[in-house]
Amino acid sequence: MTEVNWSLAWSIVGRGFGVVFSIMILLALMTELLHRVVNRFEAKKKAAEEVAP
Amino acid sequence: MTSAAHADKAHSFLGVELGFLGLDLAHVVMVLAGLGFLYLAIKKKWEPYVLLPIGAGMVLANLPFTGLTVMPEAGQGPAEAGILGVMLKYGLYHWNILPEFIFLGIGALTDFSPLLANPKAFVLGAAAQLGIYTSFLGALLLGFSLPQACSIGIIGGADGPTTIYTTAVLAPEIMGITATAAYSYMAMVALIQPPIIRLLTSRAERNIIMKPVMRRVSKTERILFPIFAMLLIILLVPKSAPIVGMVFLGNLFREAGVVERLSQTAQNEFINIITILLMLCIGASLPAAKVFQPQTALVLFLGLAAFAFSTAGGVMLGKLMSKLSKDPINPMIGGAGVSAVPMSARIVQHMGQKANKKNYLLMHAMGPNVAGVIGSAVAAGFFLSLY
Repeated sequence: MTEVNWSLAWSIVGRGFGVVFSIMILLALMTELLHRVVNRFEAKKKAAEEVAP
Repeated sequence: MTSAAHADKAHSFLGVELGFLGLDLAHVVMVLAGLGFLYLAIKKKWEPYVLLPIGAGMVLANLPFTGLTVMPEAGQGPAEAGILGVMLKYGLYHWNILPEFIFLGIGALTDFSPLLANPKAFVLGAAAQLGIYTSFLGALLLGFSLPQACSIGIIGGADGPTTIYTTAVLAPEIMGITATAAYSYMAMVALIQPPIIRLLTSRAERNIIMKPVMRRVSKTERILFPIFAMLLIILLVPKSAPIVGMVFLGNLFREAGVVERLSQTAQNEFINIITILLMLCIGASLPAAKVFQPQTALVLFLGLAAFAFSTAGGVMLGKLMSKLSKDPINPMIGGAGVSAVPMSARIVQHMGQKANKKNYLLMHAMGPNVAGVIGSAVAAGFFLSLY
């Protein structure tokens, strides 16, 4: 049976779960931002098309 | 005369080597297990595209004197390596390209719209990776090495190709078992998840009806998402690139709308061919000598526990979000955060319908479900970056 370095193991768990949560939260924020930017861009484009003869 | 020649003589009749004379109990059990997989695939239709080739690979790899699993070595003569050995060596152990190719197909098959329409689902997909870490700790407690514990834990991501890729890199000696556990439990999510979800939710919570209409996701968003998500994840966790890069490249094929032939190929012929090769390899990586070890039962147990804890993690965060959110959220959708796509989402839909006939949770559950694919890829990338 191999000797377990429990402080390393718990650090892997903490960092690993932390990385997964952080990236998923960043992706959620990025998605929301993307939605807003694309919406604004498409609204502007639509308005420009309506104004154009 | 050498001992090998004696053994050959003992297994031959009239100069012909007879396979059944070389069968021992372990081979027989593995052949029966392979036949059991074929039965489940054909008769019960349990994940047939996966379990049928795995079962066939198990049977072929455990028949004596075939030479099918002999791997190619330098200086070998022609036809000395077996087809399964060649596939195993170059597809998995040496270059590990088959799981990466599968991700390309998965990306092309995945519609991220339900996730983009409800970005909160990303967090549920993260919580449903809990089982990865509980089983990682459990594996260490039971005496597995650190790389083996990472490989066993990743079963909790409920993603077969991610499990194969990670194990092939970190602990190839247990790859057949971890891969079989991942795919078997994915086939059994309908048995594993409902009791856990029922245990953790009240009837009133299962009754919660979510708003039926999700916002429209524009084509521009669907094209930009795989590009930006790929850049963000790979820049933060570079070792996740083989998985994340392939998934989002496949998804870009699908959403770009300008490479229809590539998208169709990735979704059909390509993923089908790779599935045949990869699943045969998994079956072939289960020779009796590797399976009949005490650690096999432990891996299977830890894999099951990983699935259970991942489901629990998603549901518990779903409950918290349900309490905090203004809009009604059925906590069961958190259970779909494991990346068994689309089975987990279907189970949540079924359970929602059972609790309340007016409850349509499928699209709400698909968000966490596809988020789970990304979450497990990130978790695998983190484990890989430790080495």
